Amino acid sequence: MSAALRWTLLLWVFVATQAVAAVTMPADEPPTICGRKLDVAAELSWRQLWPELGLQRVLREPGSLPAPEVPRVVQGVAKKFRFLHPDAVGQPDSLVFLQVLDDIAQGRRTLQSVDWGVVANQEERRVDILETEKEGAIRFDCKAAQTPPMYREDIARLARVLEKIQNFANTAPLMVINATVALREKQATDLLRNGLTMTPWEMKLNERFLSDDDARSGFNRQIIFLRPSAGTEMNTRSRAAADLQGSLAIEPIGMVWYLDPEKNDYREWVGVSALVTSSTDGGLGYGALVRYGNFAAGLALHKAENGGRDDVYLFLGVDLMNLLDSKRSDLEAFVEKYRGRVRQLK
Amino acid sequence: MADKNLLFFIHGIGQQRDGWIDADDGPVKALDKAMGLYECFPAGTKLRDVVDVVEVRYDDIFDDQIQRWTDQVKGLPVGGPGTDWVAKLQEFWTRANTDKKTFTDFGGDIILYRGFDLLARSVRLRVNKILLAEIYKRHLDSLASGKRAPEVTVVAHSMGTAVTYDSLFSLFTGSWFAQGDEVLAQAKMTDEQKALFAQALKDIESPAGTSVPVRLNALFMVANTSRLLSRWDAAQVNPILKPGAATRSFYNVNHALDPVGRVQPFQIPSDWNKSRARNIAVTHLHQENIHALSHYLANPAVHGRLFSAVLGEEGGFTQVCFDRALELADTPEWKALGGTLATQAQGEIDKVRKKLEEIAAALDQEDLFGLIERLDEFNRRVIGGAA
Repeated sequence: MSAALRWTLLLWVFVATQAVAAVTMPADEPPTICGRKLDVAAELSWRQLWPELGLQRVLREPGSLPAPEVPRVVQGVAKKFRFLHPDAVGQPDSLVFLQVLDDIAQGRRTLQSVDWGVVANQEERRVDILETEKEGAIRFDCKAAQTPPMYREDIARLARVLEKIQNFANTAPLMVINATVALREKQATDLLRNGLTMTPWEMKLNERFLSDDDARSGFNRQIIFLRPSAGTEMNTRSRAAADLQGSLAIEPIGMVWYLDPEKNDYREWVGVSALVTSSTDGGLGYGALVRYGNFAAGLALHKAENGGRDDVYLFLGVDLMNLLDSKRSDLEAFVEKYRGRVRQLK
Repeated sequence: MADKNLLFFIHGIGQQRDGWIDADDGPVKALDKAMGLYECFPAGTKLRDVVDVVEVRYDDIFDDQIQRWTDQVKGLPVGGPGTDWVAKLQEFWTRANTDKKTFTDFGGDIILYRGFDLLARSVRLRVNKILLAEIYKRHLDSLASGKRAPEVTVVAHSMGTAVTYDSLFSLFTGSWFAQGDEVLAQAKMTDEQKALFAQALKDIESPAGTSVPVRLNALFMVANTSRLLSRWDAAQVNPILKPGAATRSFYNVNHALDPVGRVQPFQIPSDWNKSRARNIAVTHLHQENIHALSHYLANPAVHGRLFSAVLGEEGGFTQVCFDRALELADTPEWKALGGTLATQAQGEIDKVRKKLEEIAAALDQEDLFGLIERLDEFNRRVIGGAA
């Protein structure tokens, strides 16, 4: 292969790898300490650190630093500090800073557990960095006249660098938690809005199915308890008494099961309940009811008043009644068509 | 320079509307006006020029539930045997639904939130969804621009303090990272989104060991009801929310004459970092409705610390301006009488002060019902204008 072709190929490979690593290099944003914005130290600029810490190799789009890469990157920051300030590594603030970085590199604490913010406390007139429960914080006293030594300013600059590294490390967990919370919120809303409306006392009872942990899914079944509803009843035994009568039904106990609630947004369910009905002519009846969605139907046994046979009433919930009513003209046309066919055959 | 920081407002009792934060008596206008007190802000600077403001609304969850209960009883038949109770239920819910504002203003929201965990859970998830969606969006923006991710400050008011307290506890303790398989199976995502999500699950490596990657720069709890209305014990929640954990700074803001923060008042735990957790007790009297969020925010003791949190020196709110805010907070105008009340006749002012003192003092029970009783009286005599 000629030298020219070799160099051309190398150039194309270089350009191609830069195109793949499309994560934006962070901007240099050194912190402000006690009203003074620190300048960008060349050795601690992103132009220098980006390749030194190997970030362009390991970051995934849109800017995610996988957890296994964090220790190595953090070790790189510690190494940089030691390189720049070999004489200051024994200073108290340096010891704290390097100890925290070492803890992260060795897996004794996480990057997220440390607050990398350069936090101005205007009330106390100071700036705090690296506030941790164990070590306290590295503080800059704004009441002090003198400029802090360079190694302390570099700790502040590196805290800002680590804040941005933490930002990369936060991408994956933020994506996961954002999607999870959104899903659970939708499911909680769907249950209330689309599911079978619970009475206040049913709501209190069904809360027992809920976990204290909001991250876990809600419930897929729902207790029915002393649930009132409206419908109509019809005496199935006596044609003479087979008028539709308005009925107040109470379901003393029952259960509803949501069908594939995550896929159906809690819009579909089946259920079964005990049933007590009260209609004007039939009095009280006892039986059972089944439901599919908002359609409910049941049978209730009404005691005969004059010692005769008990009557069985068909109970239809109001939604089912309305559905049948709306289909009645279709039904009548069908029946008429069927009768017509039968006459023709005869 | 970093992009603008984020400021969330979480409302309290009562019906809100979309855009409640921009209402004439809302928090944004109060802070716009406050900015005029400081030389740090060029003339005409508004809050939204320097901060990204997000409103959090959850009251529709209660409205919808009242509507559902009303619809549920409306269809029940009356007139038959044993149906008297039905008529009473219908009357109650119809009235609650027709006059939702009164229902919620007089403590209905509190009963629904505290009484029904299914509703409270929905509220918590709503609040957390809004917070996280905005934080994540701005996080992605910061990756694209290379700038710092925004710092997050939350201002919660009245019942919103309990909602925030509970929501944040749920956020920081929930097993969010252990639900990956269910999310992949159940969430409606494109194939590309599923691939990204699956990769993210691999990248976090250890669901049990992953902490929530959010830290609030500051949390302002205004007219704090969290101790009374939270569903969890303070001993569980406080270690999670304390400065140095989920928050950097925590402000417990109450008014001496506001009945809302006085029933089982929140106490900052003694082991919290005193330089980061503060009580701000205001006493100013600039309008009758001292419970309003805008009345609190107007006080320099409150807004000075808020500007410090959301802007700080890097955002242009200098130490000089912060000191000015604390100086103003110490003046008679902000310790006592001012605003629209200052121009009233002394007799009227005395009547208002006496009314507020009576309401704040009168209480039979130091519990949920005591709070509702106080709210009832406050709404009737202050908001409603009765003597």
